Amino acid sequence: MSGTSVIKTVPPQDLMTELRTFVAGATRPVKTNPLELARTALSILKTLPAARDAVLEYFCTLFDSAVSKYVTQIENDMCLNSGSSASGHEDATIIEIHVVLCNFVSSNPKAWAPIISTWSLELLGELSSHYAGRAHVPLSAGLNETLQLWMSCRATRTLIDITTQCLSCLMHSDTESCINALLDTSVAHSPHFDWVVAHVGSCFPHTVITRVLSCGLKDFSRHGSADHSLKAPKLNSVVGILGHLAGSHFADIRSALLELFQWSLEPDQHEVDGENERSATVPFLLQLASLSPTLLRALTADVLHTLTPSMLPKLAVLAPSWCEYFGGSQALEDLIVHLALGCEQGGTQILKLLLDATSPLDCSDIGAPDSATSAPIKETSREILELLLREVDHLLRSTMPGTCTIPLLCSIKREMTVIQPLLLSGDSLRVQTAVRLIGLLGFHSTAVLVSSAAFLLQRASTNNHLVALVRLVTGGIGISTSGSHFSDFLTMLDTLLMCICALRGYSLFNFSFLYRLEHSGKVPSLRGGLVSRAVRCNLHEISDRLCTISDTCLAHSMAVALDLAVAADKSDVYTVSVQLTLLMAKAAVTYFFLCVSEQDDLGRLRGVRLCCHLLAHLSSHSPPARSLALRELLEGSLFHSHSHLFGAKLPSQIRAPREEIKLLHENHKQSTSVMLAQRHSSVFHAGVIGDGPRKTFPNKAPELDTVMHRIQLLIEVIKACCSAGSETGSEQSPTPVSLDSITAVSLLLVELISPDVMYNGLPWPEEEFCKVTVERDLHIRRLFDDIPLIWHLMSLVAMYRPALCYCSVLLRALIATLLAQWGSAAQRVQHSDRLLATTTQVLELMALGQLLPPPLSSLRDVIPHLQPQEVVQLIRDCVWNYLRDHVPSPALFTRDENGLMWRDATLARPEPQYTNTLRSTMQNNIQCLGTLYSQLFPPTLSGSQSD
Amino acid sequence: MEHTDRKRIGWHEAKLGIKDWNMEEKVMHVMDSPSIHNLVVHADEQMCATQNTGRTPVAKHMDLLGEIISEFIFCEVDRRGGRKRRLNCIQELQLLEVLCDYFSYSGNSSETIRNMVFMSLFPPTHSDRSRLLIKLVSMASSTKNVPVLTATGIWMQQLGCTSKFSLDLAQGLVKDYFVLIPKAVSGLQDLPQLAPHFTANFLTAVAEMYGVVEKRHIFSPPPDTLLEVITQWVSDNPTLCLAALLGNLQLVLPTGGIPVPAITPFAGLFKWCILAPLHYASPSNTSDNATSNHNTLESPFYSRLHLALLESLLECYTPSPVLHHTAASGSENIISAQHLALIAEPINRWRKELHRMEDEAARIRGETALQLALDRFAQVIQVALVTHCVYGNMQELFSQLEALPENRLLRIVINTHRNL
Repeated sequence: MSGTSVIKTVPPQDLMTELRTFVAGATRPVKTNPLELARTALSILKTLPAARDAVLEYFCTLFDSAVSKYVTQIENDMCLNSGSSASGHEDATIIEIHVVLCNFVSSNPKAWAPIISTWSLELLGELSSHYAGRAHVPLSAGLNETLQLWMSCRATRTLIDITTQCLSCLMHSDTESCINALLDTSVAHSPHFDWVVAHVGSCFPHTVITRVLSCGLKDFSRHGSADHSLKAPKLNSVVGILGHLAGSHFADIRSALLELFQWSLEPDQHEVDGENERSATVPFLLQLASLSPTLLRALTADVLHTLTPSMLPKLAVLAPSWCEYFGGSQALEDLIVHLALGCEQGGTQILKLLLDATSPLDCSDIGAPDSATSAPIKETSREILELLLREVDHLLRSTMPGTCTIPLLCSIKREMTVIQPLLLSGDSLRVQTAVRLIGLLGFHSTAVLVSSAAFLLQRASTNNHLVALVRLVTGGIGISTSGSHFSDFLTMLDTLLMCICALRGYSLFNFSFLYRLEHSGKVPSLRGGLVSRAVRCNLHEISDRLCTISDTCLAHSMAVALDLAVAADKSDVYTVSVQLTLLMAKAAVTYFFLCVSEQDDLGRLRGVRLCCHLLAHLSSHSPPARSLALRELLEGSLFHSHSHLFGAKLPSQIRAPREEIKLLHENHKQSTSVMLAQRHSSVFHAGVIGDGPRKTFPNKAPELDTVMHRIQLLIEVIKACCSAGSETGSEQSPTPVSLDSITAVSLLLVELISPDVMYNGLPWPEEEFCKVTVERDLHIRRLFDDIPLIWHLMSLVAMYRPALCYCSVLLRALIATLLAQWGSAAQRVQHSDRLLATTTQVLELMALGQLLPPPLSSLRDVIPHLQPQEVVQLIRDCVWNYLRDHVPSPALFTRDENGLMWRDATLARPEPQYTNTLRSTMQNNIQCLGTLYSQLFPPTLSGSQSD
Repeated sequence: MEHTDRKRIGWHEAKLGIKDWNMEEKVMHVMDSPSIHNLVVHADEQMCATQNTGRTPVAKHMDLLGEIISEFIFCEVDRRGGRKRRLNCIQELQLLEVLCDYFSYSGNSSETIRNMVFMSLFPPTHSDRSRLLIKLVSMASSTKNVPVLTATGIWMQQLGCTSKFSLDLAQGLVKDYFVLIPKAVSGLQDLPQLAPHFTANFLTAVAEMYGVVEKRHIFSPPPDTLLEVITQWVSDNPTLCLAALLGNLQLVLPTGGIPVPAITPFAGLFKWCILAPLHYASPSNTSDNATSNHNTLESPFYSRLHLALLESLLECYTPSPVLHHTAASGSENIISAQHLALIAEPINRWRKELHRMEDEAARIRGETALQLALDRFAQVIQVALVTHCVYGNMQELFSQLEALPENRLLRIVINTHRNL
């Protein structure tokens, strides 16, 4: 070993000198220039690797003093408001250090980055926990405040910068150790260090989030099960960091959570460590969620969607081990319920999951045969569901309405379309849950309740659905028993019916069912008269709707509702406004016409009966309604589109044949017609030139039976309208018809049929005067011919004497025309049967109305056997003259003890001057009128008369 | 407090009968730590010296020495034997400074005592002190503190150059100088001149460190700077690799110390040169880092190193007047046949891997690399055998060589030397 005597070269001496200077400067607070010392330190760092740690440690003190100065300055500034003084040399030092360290890192990241990053992290940790609570940032300050404080300090900013640079170098190769170092420091200096992690995390979100989660999980699985009272130390840090990162990297967090969750469900691959962590994952996630709403949101956003009932058995196996982390299944359930309550989205998902698990619709999901596993799942999920609902209920009841906000409810409210179909489910649990839930929601906003009720009302097809509806509606009231909500509820029902009216008939059918249910009094919850009140509030809408509707089914339901509503008012004073009554009357009439045209006999009859009932009720209470109804009925049946239903002859339609017309052809035709001008083209055709004569298309006349039936129905309705309106009248025995209304009918007829307003009075003028009114008479006659219904109406009027008197103008017109017709018929050999039939009808009518007393009332039986001349004579003498002399007025009629108007035949026996013609004519034709003659002119009487 | 301390130290004194203690203990607790270190180190030296002066070292004395070092130098334990707060880095630096100073200025004490102090400071039982040792050596390297380096070289050899301690040390040094601060390497240029023994042992350790790798890879290449420096060292100092064999360790070891035979870095460094071509043509390597050209090309330093090593071997064979006696005495145990034979195994393994390759171009490249490796191997065998540097089981070596893939040069070499 001969090399010991080597002369020491100069540089090492320098190095030693530098080293000594540094050591001296670093250990004793001698008065050295800090900048110089720092430079020395840096040069030592570059040349003397052994001094690395010491130099870094010295830098720690430098940074520390810089931070201390900064913090003190802030504190002083706050107190004194003095201007800031720049700490020049320190800044310069720090900048220099930064440059050197960064150079090191960038020159050889793999080697330097771990050293530098560990150093800077530790330093940061120490600094932040050392100065925590200083500089007017309280210990309890949030992450952002701390972050702001430290990022505005040059020293710490530099450190953070160095750290991130190191980490970015390492990120690709050695994430695990990086993040572990980060978290270890974080745990050591928690919570003051969180800002660093948060900041670093925002630089490398995905890595940091994943690693933070996995570190947290590891820690949780180690500490969580050991002692329940002590929380895992890292958990709060994890939550804080993730909470900070959530602001800008929410998606990353979501995906990381999802990955973690999915990982936990993967089958174990024989890892001893992993197993424990896997089983701890779900409790860990739950714990995280319970600590931070943000994370809860992240969890519910993704994890919840992946959770399906088919996964539950897998989870159920793991569940017992979860309980350990929370101290029993009870606590776990509570936690789950509270977390569920806090979900801002996916509320329906939770609900669906619980429901599916409790009572699976599809047995294959859970595996029905394997009841050993599915039974506990069902039980547990049912329990959780119950707890959840009860908790919501409790929360709602314990707070003022409107003040309590439960995120879960809000979330569910947003997805009502998912919940509402549950109401229609066949599964009772689903229905009940939905009903309860909606009831709870309704506590906040009646709109939900309304829309759900409307939904149910529209779609309910079984009684169970209606039961649910009743429960829903009454349950909603049950919660808000106080008076203030009652009006809410009424408005709710209004809205409800509004919706209904605008929608399908099913709902009204349901509704009428409900109504009947209420009426029956069997359902206690409906005793409050909810439904009827609701209907009454919406009478206007219903009627309005009924006026325009064309769907018979819907119309039936509506009418039922209307009828029930109106009829239910027995007890109440009839307070409906006139306008509404009129509207209802109009609706009823419209409905009647709708019914009449219906094909189904039973439906028709039922509808008409309903109509009758409704109209009778309406008109008995409101005269305006009655007159409106009558007018509508008559007008509608006589003249409007409905008239053909009752056998009216419509003017035959003439249609021009529609053909392709080509100009060329037309021109050819033109030329030929011009050439043959004197011949065919001069012939007049009642048609379009070139098309030949017009063709008429006969209308399809309805069958006579149907027409008769319809007329019958109409008569019934009119009778119902005219009913006197005795309250006792039941449906079985028709109420007596009031004469006034029948009179109104007859007046209406006159008004409608007679084209004039003048000369419609009762008296019959001289026959000569007919020449003046011939035009009107013919018009009236034409109407009678075309609209056979009029005859029936007339006979109705005639039945209720003396109403026919008011129709005397019509009768006059008929008779006048008949006279003329018979007169002209006398010129011919043969008179028409039609004429005879009409004459018979008129005479019969007059007889019925007791306008012609016996024996004149039997004229109709006589006439068929007579010659036209004789008929003319008879009508002129016996009818016209008699009526001219005996004005058909109500005064002729007297009221008997039954209240019926009557014309006493014995008193009103016509004088012979009116009967003689009849008698002589009959005598002339005694061969066929013998029997009748003997009845009309009894021998004794005739003997005495002839005397 | 002070009183008890005094008593304790007094107790030491009584046991050991060292006069100096009297003086020192009085100031012990009023001085700052560097001074204490200084004093204690000197005290240790004296203790070691007393031990070395013929008196058989008592086990108790050694224990006591260990305690004192632990308490007053490294401050690992407090006076009750409990754990104490570790020195901070600056204090450590101070301690290192003191130690360096001590070793460089203790000119009066013999090398033996220095070595003894060094070994008692860093005994193999205190593995936790290796961190400090690394720092000390690193510092000594940069400050060219020859005594420390020399002592370290002996320490390495005594603990075994391929032992964990030495490997840790080598690792630490490599990290300091070649990984972290490559610029500081310039300070190491004259290391072979300053401390050849240490350098040789360091080389052995480094060669071992990079030669032994996990199964998948053939060879983990050293950092380029390290390779460059080593190449330069070897080519500039042909005798460097033999340095560990030179000199009699017995003279510098404390009494009763048994010198451990040195292992030359030849085998390890040859292994680098032979396996390097294979590594750079390795399929796993190419597939991993196909993108970076840097890793696919063999550094030219390998062939230069190879040449330098061969020249060194020849150098030691050449009967030069200076080295004649050493070469004659040491030529037999320069390279172990066993070590050489170990090189064959990765080649065979790599060849199997090559056969599994599908890429034709890569296989051709691999074949070329294999021939190059075999050529180098054959050259090594040839030179080593000719210079009679190989010792150990030759039969084993030849059987391993026979198993290698066909190579003309290797065949010739084998045939030539088989017959001898």
